[in-house]
Amino acid sequence: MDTPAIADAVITLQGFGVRLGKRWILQELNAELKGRSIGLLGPNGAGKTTLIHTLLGFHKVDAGSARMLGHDVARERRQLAAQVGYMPERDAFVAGMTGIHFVRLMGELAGLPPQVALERAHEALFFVGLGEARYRTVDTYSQGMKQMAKLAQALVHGPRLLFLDEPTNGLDPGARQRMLDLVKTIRDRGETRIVLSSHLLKDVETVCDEVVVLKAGRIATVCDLEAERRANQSFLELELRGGNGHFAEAAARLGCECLVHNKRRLKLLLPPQVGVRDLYAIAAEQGVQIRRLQARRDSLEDIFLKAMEERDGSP
Amino acid sequence: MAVHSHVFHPYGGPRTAPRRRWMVIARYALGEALSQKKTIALLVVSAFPLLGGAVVIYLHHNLEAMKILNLQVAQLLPIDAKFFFWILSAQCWPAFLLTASTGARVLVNDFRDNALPLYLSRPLTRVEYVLGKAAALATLTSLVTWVPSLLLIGLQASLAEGWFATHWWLVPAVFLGAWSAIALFALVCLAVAAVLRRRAVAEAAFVAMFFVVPMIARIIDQFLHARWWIRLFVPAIFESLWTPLFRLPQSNELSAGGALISLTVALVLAATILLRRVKAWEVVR
Repeated sequence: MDTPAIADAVITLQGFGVRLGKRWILQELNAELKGRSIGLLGPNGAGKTTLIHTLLGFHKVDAGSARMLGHDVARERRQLAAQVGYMPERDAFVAGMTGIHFVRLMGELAGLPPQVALERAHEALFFVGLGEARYRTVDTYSQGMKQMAKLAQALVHGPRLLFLDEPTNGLDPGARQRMLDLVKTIRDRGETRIVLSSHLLKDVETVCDEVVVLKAGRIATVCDLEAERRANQSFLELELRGGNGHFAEAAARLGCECLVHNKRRLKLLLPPQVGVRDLYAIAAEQGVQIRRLQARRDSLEDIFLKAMEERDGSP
Repeated sequence: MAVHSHVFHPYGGPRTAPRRRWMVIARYALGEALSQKKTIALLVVSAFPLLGGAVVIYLHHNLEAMKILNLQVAQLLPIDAKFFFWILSAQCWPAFLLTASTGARVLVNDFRDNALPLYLSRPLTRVEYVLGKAAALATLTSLVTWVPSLLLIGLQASLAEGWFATHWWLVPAVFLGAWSAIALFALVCLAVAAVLRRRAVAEAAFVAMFFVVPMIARIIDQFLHARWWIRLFVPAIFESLWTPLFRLPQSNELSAGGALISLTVALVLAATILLRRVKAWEVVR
């Protein structure tokens, strides 16, 4: 079987573009995504859903090429579709069907023999926590249950790549946490790659190890969150009181990079040879009180905002 | 109680043939249609004319029964091409009603709750999806049209020695005649349902398509001194198409060629509308 090794790219985009009508929705996308769990971030209208839809074969690829799991998206749709699970953003189910009937149908359509589909439909519904409700019609499910049913139908055939479009939409905090826990469980098994589209940074940060930020149909940044986490271990947030405002300059002379600077708050990226003790020394010299000092990594929010600003500033 | 695994695990077992996935759609749609009491009732009612036909054939070959019922052979319908033409014409009505009552249901449920992205994200094309839905309707309507008609031909052939040798051509006539109706009913009904997306409205519109539209055309014809309405009147189209198949004299002013053109245009139009409407995504305005 042509299963790509874990280091292989899950999705490769080369000059990828999609046009709906006369308008280019996605343009010149180039990326090689290898993460176990890939987050698609971007403001509304950035093209996240269009990208997912095109990778699923709903839209034509109008420029460049895209490959998923080693298959060409435009030419090998049928082979790909059997290996992909999709949980759409909007409510999606077949009215009047029970949960088990619905998930079984989706399993059979993905190629499972009827008996296997039935067995796996039971398993998928138990996995997402709908075991007791599986004989109820999906119309009668609550919003949270419908989201779980959508996840179950996406999983029933054991896909190698799972697209989750806003999976926590409309969920209360408890249900949202359960959904994220399920996604993490799937990710941690390592046999199914995940593409999660969301505008909730926290969800993406919790689940994903690689992030693509889209803005106005282009890739604003591709970020390996794992690498970022490792690289930002010497990152400090400081809250200062007093002094003549030259603390940042003194820190910069030590080799620190000042990322955010106002009178009372600083974000410093410390070089390896500089420690917290050195900062206290500067503070003593400058007559500054360090009221709070917190070591933290660059949050996804920072990465996202930086990407948005960079794109705004770009020609 | 069955014990099921509560963990997620990938699937590496055998898969069904990709080109036969439309049959899954057809099987589930048929199950949905047959779960309705209305459908079962229509199937039962549609059996009565066929039973009547079977009784007539039986009586033709049982003089004792004729004597008991005090009937003469001359009083019975002759078992010839016209007999099977009438049977098929009569059975088109239950086929029409079955399509009207189930056709919209099997499609509208998918549209109503946005199920199309789920279907079409699987190894299934739009054509296969439509084929599956149409196949479910065709199976239902076959049960009341060509299948029982062929059984009646079989009954007659088994009772009258040598009859089949001279009437074998009734088999393709019944088959082709029935399929012209089945295909038209199924595709037009699905197209109307795909456009209107509300079951009751789609059912009403489907019935109206076959009767109200020709009536309106007839009114317009009065002003234009034309005779176009007959090209839109489905019973006339079927009659014109079937008479050469059953080797009967032409009985209305619409030629078989004209009827074939009307039928083809309707089928192509319905299929085009369906394929345009059946898509995984919609632009939300």
